[in-house]
Amino acid sequence: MHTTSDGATFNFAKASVLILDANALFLDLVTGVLAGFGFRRITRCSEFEVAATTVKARAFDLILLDPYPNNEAAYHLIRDLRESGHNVATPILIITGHTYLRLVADTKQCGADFVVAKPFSMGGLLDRVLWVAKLENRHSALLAPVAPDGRVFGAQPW
Amino acid sequence: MVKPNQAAALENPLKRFLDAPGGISQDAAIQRATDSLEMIRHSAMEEIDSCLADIKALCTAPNPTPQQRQALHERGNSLLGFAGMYDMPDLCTAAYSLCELVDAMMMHGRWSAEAIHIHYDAMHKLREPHALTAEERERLVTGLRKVTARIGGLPPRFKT
Repeated sequence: MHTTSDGATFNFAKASVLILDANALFLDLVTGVLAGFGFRRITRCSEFEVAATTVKARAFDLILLDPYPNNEAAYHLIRDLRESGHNVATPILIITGHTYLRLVADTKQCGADFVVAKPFSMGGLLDRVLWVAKLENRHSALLAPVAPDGRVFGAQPW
Repeated sequence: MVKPNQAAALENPLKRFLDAPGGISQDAAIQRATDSLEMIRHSAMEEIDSCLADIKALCTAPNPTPQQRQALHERGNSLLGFAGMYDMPDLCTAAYSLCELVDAMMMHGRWSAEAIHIHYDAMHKLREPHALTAEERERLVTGLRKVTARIGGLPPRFKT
């Protein structure tokens, strides 16, 4: 049996995760995939405003966001979450299809831990979830400093 | 200096679920996720067809409104996700090319209905990938890349 690289297993049954995807069927898809990974406490959002209200009110152990079509507002939300509140250190994965060229830099630099491109393989997404679960002392790298011209620069991996 | 309660707040909350009792292996998780993906395959195929139908309807407009252009990008974006997840890599690439094209044309303030049509025709053919040879699929995708590079890269003076 193949296990994680150190031979360990994982149990996400009590981990709380929030998923945002404006496409209802893709929301179902991601929900099913995460359920396959063992997540049971899944909060599903197809509306950005609902997701924003929810992550400001409650702590989650993992957040998966597709910013489309609220791109800029979603990036602002992630920056806000990194500043204060319940989810300053919560792993955040952006899951995105085609990103508008003008938003590529913001997608990389808004303070998310990683950007996962659609389509993704089951193994690829699981690897990324396990990778972010292992990260430590990354908060300062996730805070995206704002330049005088308003541009945001960050240090998180792409 | 970071106080103990601040340090606790900055701990990665997902970490504690690694190696937790009653866990599953990576292989088991991937198999369960793959099974889950298969459960909605039929709905995903319907979504792909719905995206194609919407793109066909949207690309008939010679000078679409900003909302229609946005909708074209949105439908292409959905299409690339589902096509890629369900083993249609050429259709996924074609839909990505459509998104690149629409994005570039919106950014530069121009429009080529013909380039959109070419993408729709190719995606319609790639919907049934086994009806084409690998060479035919490659030729279609390569052609779309060229269209997107040429039309998307036109200088603003060619604005239509």
